[in-house]
Amino acid sequence: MKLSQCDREQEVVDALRSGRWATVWGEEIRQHAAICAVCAEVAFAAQEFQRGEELARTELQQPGAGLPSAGLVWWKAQLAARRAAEQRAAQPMVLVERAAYALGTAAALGLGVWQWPRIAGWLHRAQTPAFLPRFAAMSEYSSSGAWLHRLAPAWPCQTPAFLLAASAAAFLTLMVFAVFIVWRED
Amino acid sequence: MFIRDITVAELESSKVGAEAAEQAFHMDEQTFRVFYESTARPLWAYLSRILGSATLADDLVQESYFRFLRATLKSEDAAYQKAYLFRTATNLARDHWRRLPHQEQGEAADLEQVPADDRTAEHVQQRSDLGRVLGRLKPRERELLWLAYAEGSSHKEIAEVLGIRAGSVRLLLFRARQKLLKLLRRSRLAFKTEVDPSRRS
Repeated sequence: MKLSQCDREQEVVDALRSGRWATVWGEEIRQHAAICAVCAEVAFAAQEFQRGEELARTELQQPGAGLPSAGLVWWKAQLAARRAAEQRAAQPMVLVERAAYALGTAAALGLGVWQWPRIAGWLHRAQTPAFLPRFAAMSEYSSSGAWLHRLAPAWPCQTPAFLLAASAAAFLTLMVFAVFIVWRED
Repeated sequence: MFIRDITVAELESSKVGAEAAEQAFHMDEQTFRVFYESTARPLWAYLSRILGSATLADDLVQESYFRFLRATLKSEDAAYQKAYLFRTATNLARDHWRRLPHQEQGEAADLEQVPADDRTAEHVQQRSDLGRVLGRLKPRERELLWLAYAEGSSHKEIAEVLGIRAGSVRLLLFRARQKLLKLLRRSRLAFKTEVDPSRRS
């Protein structure tokens, strides 16, 4: 398809849109379009679309149709922006909260594994009233208990200093994470 | 989150005063009102015709203004702002097409709808002609033709709205126009044959 063009195409569209086309001031451009195939095509297409646009405007005036007022759109935009800002502001807190839950759970599990022999002993004593015959030690009737009993002595640093260091490390990790989130938001 | 999800009840229940509520939008409410009054109808007409759905156009018009208000604009020039708004709307329409199954992407949904009290033969024929023809064009062709001939945008403005090179607009528009005219002629011929059976050969 060979590209045929005319420098006055835009002028034809402008004349039609402004209403000049149908008046005496549009005589000259109409005459041009009568002898220029490209401009005749442009005029035909533009007239079709302008009728289409008029029809669209008519549709907006039908009962039940119509655009919301500028004020309503403005207020909706304000509210939506506020919601988005709230969500953005709450995001770091939510992340830190999740990290805290994860660390707390990990610490609780670690403590449970580390102190399992003691915990098992407490449970055993608590579940066995004095007047009932005592069960055997947990390691003898629970495979998981036995595993934990074997693991516990192998724990390398069961000292208060280790516990303190582990807590401090967890706290520092959390703080670094929180500072990073806040810095990223800023 | 879409702006259409915000209900009037929520707006009414919002106890924040107007000044406190104002976010850092790039224009104040009064300027926005003026801008909205001058652009909302053309924008709705554009969206409803390229999408082929008045309902969808209603939603996307509001979403377009919301995104426009939140954007950081480089200029306060009215033409630039209008082009930016139309570009936002075009991108939203494209997002909508992307979500559609492939075979539906080129088809406009309800371009044949005519207002109930406006079913004069002329209107129905005109609307169905352009509607049917637009429905058979590709989305980009619809956008190009509407912007060029209904909005009267220049090639530079069309390039800004559609995100293409200004140099390409002339050729793309020429091809789209040829396709449109071919389809319109065929459609007119079919209509004439329908109303005047003597034309049938």
